[in-house]
Amino acid sequence: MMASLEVTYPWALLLVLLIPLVLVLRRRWREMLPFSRVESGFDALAPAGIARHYETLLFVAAYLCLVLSVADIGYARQEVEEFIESKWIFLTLDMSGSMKRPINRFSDQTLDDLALDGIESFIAIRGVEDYIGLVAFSSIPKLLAPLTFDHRLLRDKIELLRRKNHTPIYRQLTSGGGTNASEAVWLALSAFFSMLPEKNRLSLEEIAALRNFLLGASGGLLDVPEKLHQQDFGTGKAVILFTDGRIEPTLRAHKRKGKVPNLVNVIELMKTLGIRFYIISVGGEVDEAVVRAMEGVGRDVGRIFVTAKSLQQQTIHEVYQEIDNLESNRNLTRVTQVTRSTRPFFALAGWLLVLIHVLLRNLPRLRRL
Amino acid sequence: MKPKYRFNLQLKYPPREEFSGDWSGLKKGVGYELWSLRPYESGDSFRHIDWKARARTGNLYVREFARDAAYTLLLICDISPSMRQGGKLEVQRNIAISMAHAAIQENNACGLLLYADGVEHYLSPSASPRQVQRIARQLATVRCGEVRRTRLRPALRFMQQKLPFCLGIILSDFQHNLDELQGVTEAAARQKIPAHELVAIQLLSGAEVNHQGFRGGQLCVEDVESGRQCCIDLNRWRDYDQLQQQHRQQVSQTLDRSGVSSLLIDVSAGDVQKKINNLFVRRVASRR
Repeated sequence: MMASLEVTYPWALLLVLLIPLVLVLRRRWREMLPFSRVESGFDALAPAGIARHYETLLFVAAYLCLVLSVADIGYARQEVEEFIESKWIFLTLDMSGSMKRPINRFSDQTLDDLALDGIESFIAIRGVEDYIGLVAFSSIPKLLAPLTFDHRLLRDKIELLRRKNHTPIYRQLTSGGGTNASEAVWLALSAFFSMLPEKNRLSLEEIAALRNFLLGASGGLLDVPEKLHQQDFGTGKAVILFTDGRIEPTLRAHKRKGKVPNLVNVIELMKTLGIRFYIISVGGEVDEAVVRAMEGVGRDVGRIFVTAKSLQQQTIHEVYQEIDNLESNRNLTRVTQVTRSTRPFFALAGWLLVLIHVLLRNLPRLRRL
Repeated sequence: MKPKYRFNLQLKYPPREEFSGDWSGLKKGVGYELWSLRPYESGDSFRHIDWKARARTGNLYVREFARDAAYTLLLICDISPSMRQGGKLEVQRNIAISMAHAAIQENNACGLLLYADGVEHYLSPSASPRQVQRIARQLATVRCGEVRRTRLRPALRFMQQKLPFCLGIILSDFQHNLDELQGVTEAAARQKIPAHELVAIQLLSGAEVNHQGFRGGQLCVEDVESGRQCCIDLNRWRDYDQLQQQHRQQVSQTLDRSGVSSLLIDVSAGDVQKKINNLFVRRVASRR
């Protein structure tokens, strides 16, 4: 809150300078009764005190009030912040070549179909107050939907990823065939960071420094900017990774000569920032290094769900329950500056004085004949 | 032109005519010339009983006199802006025309002198029957310009210069300072038979007499002549009435000191004729 004095229309204050002129003109144009003789003895009969000056006083007071109401002086300015309380969830879907495997020999369904069904179920059961984003990845990640309340949009995006629909996005995503989970999770984290309040938002240099750390070997010194530690907007953020378990974080990082973030480092970053990480592995075990990284050290960092080659609804519900327990984020959506205006007060006072003037003028004792 | 009022104008002092009889009027009244004897009636003054006739006949007879006439009437009318307030000008005009009519009916000359700051217009006396129309026309047409104060003194000086003797009727509201009259009329008033008989008829509107029932409130007034402005608190209406009364008394005393008979007439009242006739009767009754 900032207390200050502001005048919306300062030029209106110049009208105050007209008061002497108005008083002179008013005196000159005052209606006088022509009388045959006005002698000095009449001065003794002149009204005294308030009765003599009440008209001028009321006129000046009413004029001042009306001028001040026109000038509209604001005596305090207040910033009103509006927040939306929500949980931020990013769904990351593995579209790598391994996800194209059929769930069994007798079915047309592949693992990515299962994962898409799981995502769709998850979106269906989440409330409308959750921000949900969608990232799909194979060799490269693609942000299909930023954090949004629009479940219909999310479902439409999911439809674009189904094999049977032969969409350009599906072909583009599956052309590489690799599993770049760490880049996808980093993309999701970047989307989170972009949603932070401005005071907590990272600069380009800070993001680049953070990414450099993530590109390094596992177990390096984690240098998280102070801005991210000081965030007070809640920790209701989660990243859910739907995969078949073949994510090989360290190997990929080594082969690509440091061009891909190390998933273990990404998990460490999420642990530091309190972002939950859930891995739903459909029909496969998760890499040993990832499992070790996910082991909590005195705090809940997420879980790894390993299911058979059929997605169990119970797993989805477990994740749902865990996310439901998260604290909601307070997302600043609008800042309104409210200035406390004195216009109503002065306008009311001005017209009230005019009314009093009229009433007094009609009193038998004070009326003008 | 039919006059609104019928006045019996009478001189207080015998006229200064050189030939006796010239000044006796055509009507009965209070004078010096014997008109006739008539039987005594209840209420007649014992002073007028003719004791010789009583001795001759054994009945009571009273003497009747011819009214003194042979005067020159000069109507001295104030036409200053203050007279335009409260309908005074109209009453002044009616009185003036009626007096002119009364004078000319008795073959007396009548003139008109209009004044404000000084002499504005002078119509020399004439006994012509058309004089009434001339006077009426002058009163209807003459308007004075911007006048900051009213002065009677130049008008009286003018009268004394123009007419050696006359009956002067001053029709004014006397809302001006009368101190200026000192030395103008006192000398004449001290004479046994003054050359110029002056009668002042003070015409006042209702608000100049009292507060007219307005009790409470403020009244902002402006002097039509001096432009002086003032607000009056009518909650103090008693003080206002007292102030106006003091002014009237002051005017009356000043005129008395100057040897001018005065009469106050409230123009809103309807007893103008009666008051003026009574004034002349009183004047005659107070002859020395």
